[in-house]
Amino acid sequence: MSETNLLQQIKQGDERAYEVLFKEYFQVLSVYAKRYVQDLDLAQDIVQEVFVKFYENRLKLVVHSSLKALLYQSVRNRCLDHIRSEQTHNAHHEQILNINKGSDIDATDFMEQVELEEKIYKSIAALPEQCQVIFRMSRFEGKRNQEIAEALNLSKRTVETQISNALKRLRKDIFPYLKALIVMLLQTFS
Amino acid sequence: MKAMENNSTISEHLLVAYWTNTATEEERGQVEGWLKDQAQNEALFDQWKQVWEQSGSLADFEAIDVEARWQQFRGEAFAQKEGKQVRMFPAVWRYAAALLLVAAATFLILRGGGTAPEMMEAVASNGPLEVTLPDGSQVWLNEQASLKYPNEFDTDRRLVELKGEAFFEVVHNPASPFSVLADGTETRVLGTSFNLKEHEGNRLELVLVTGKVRFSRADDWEILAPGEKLVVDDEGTMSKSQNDAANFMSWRTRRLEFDSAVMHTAVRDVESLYGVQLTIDSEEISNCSVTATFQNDSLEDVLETFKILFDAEIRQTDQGYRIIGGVCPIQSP
Repeated sequence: MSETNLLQQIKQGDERAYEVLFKEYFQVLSVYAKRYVQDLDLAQDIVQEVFVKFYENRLKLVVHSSLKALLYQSVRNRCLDHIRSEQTHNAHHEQILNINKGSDIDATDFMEQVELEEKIYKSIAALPEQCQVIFRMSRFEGKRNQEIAEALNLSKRTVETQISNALKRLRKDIFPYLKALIVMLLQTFS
Repeated sequence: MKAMENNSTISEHLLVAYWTNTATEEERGQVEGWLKDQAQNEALFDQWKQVWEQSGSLADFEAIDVEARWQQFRGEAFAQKEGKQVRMFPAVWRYAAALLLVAAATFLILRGGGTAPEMMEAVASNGPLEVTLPDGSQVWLNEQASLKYPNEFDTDRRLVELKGEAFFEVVHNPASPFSVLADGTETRVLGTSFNLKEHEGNRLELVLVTGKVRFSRADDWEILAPGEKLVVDDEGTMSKSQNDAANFMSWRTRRLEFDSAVMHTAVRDVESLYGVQLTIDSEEISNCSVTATFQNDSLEDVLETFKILFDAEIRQTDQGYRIIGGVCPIQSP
């Protein structure tokens, strides 16, 4: 479904069109919001709030650039509103507010970063099941290859091969995006 | 791309072992040797490492239940429209008419101009009181507690003000955060149920039962998970811990549960539920273990149970009751 069609159907109050939009963006926007507010549950509430507002205002809605850009921007604004209303002296928040006074650099960077992360997420989800299981145990549970092999009753060699496969696949899927990330990291540290 | 691949004679799983510090001495040597071997291997190593590090965000993606969120959103955005007229107002009026709802009908002008909502005040002057708020949220006020709330909430936020102790069961609505103000603090609900106890002075206790709340006082804030307790002491210092007080909600549930509890803490729970003072004369009984459950029982029943359990004498005094003598069957560890 094209974006224009989707928007048209949403304006007509089509619940299914809205479901498509929600499911396409909810996860990635929540991870994006977490960059600002640091708490995943809070981030999800904020994104949900944006979707509610979006729905309520759908008839008045004028999309200048793209639906995606509008959603990211709304989420970002909500997050900044939230941070301001907290008035905490949390260093991370102050940093974000300061960055945001002047430019939009970090907003674009955060967006590119989470989009990359979403690609990785999807890329891992697309791996064969055994490969996924092994990769997760290695990546998130910090298990040694030998431990994984014993837990799954496989040879250590199989585990090693699967981890290599997972990493190869990931690199292949996200290599085109890595350059952007390197540029971004340089900006952050310079 | 192709050329790089050919020079990459290292097995990727060795790199993974290297980054996670699970590599053997020999494997570390292999990776380090490979790194020195060709200048471009270092760039390659960095690339691989980025792929590896970026994959860590996977956990966030997986923690998000899109389907559940969609169902919740659907309920709120699509169903809300249809059910608007039949919201909780009748319930509010029922309480207003029938109970101890003191309608301190002050017409406060909030946010300059516009129509001001009527402020209501519920006061639990004769024992606990249950109040239903305009959004359907339920509040149980402990004796002597009071709650101020508008007869209609703003669309973008729900603010109430508490004095004393209350248990909240809040209707989840991310578009309109629910906040309890008490003694210069704010407890913001990120969805759910909790017990908030405001004492005289700065002291305050918050126990979260389900969901998530964000508690703030001046510039300081904490996010609480279920089972966690936050205490503000007289100096205004905040501290968070696991709630180990099993009977913190007995004032609402009328239930006391002692599971191998030590008697001197058990009697504190009895005291706070029945509003009496209990003293234990014997150190042996004071340190004795007790396992018992009381549901809707009278103070006399509870005391009678202690009497039988410990073969002790219960004597009424000016302030309350004394537990005298007795034998401890099971000493608390």
